[in-house]
Amino acid sequence: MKPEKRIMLYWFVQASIISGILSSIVAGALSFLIQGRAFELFLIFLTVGNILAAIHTFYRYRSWDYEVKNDHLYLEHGVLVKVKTIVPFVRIQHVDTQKDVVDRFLGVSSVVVYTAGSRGSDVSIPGVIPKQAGELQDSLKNKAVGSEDRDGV
Amino acid sequence: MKLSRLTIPYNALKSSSYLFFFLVFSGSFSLSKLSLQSLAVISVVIAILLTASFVWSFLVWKNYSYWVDKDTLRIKKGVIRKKNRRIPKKRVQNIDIKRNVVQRALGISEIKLETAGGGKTEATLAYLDLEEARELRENLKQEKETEKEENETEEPIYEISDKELALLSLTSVNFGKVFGILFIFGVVPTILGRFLNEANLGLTVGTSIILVVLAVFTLVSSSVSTFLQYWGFKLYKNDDNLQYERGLLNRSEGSIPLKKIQRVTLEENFLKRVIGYSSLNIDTAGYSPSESIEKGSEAAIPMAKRGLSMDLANQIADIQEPDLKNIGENAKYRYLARYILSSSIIFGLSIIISISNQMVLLTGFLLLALSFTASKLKWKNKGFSSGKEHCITVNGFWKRKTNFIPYFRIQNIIGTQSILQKRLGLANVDIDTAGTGNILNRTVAVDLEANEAEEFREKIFEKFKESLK
Repeated sequence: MKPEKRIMLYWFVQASIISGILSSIVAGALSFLIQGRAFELFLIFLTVGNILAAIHTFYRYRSWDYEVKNDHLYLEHGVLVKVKTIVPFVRIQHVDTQKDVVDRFLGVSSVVVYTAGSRGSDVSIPGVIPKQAGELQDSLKNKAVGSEDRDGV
Repeated sequence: MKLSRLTIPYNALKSSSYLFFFLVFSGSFSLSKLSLQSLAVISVVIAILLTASFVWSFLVWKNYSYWVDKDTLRIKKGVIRKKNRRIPKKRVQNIDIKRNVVQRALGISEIKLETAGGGKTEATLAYLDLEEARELRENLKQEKETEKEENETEEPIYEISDKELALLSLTSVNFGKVFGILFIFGVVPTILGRFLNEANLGLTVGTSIILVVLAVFTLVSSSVSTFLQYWGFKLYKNDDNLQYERGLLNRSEGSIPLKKIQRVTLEENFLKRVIGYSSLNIDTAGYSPSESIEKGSEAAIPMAKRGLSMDLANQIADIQEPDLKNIGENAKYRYLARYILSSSIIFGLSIIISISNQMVLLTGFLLLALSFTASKLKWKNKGFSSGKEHCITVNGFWKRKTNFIPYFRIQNIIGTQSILQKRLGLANVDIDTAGTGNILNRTVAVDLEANEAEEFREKIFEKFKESLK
């Protein structure tokens, strides 16, 4: 399954803000070196940055995929580094759903799956419609058998 | 139960010792102007502070109590803010008892409990009589082995010999540090000197002597500290626990439940490999990553012939000699490119500081040859395998580490592939377990051929599922 398409807006805004910050730093430094033309440089960098941000967002969305299989949760994502994660249900400690301000504006939430592993909180599924997120949370929680001897710690 | 009474004076004097340092320090400045009156004031101040710290230590002691009931350790403490803790016995990962020289003279010891989760030691009881500490440790172990109590005086499965201790002290030297010192104080000024055209920045006889002394000091001090730390190391094993003791001045002893072992690492740095030795580290979810750097966690085999290490690993965790597979062929090119890139920087520097063109040419040639050899060696010293009980990764030429992770301990399996790796058809498999992973200390099979990585992931997942049954 894929996240909702509208999450791309969130990602784009994120990437665009980063590119804005970077452009202002680089443009500032460059204009200091060549004495002037700060604003023009900033605009150029900003445009390039936003184009890159758009491309990144597109590929980021394309790379995202998750699936609840019969004994594990499978996730796949990442543009520069492709990451494929297998989370066995028996290893799930707890499941959260989260909504930040932008999520609320877009009407989505994310599902975060915690394991005892050191990378546990990495497992987060963005852009899920709240109702589905709730269902996903419940089904994952039910599948995570809470037996203490089987958590591998 | 209460802590040892000696805790009161020990803590009081310890906390006020800083005060004495301060007084001695400031006193030595103003000694000449010292009048009788100010002396009186100072002694009154000291007296007040000492009393205060004794009173405080007493209150801390008075308000501290602990006891073990059927399945939990309970600690009640706090003078101003009360704290009440319960730690389920089942959740205790390892227990260490530590005594420094002063504490040994007083017969008291510190006991540390680790549980999974959280970066720091979960509970520290300071200080208990040694006997009480040992008793507490026995109480906290899983109930099972009450019948076995009688044959306590069993033989250790490993005991460090004089030869091993000597070798350990010599080979555990941190050469990186020594080279770092030599580089910063020896090479960097020479290069800077070239730039600034100031000959006096280069090496003089005086600075060379300081340099050598510094290097020798680093070597000797790290050897001595290792020697003191691992003096008299012994490892015992019974049905459920590993138990170690070690140390000449500061004694430590501790136990690890065999059921809690997350990872076993066979570590052979270059020097150890040359002389055929290795060390064995055991990770549990309890030790925080910062505690188990270099020398690994407490209960490990610091130095033993490789065969013996594997034998012990077999006794401890059923580990067999792995049947290793090589990583992807293309990884060689990746490493070669990396080395050529980084050596080009050195090449650039050599152009700046060299005297003749022949020398530049020679360095270039040497660097290239070095890059080829290094990349080949780097490639050769990586590997992976899915054994009967463990998945295994090997990594590192200078510090080769062979990690064994029992399938049952796997938390997540993460496959990663960067764009560069994709081009070369390579991928990583990151095996995530509880607790032990800071970024520098993860278990990753690096640069496998993409197909093999996929197979490896599937295979260890299958084995993991089998291990659950």
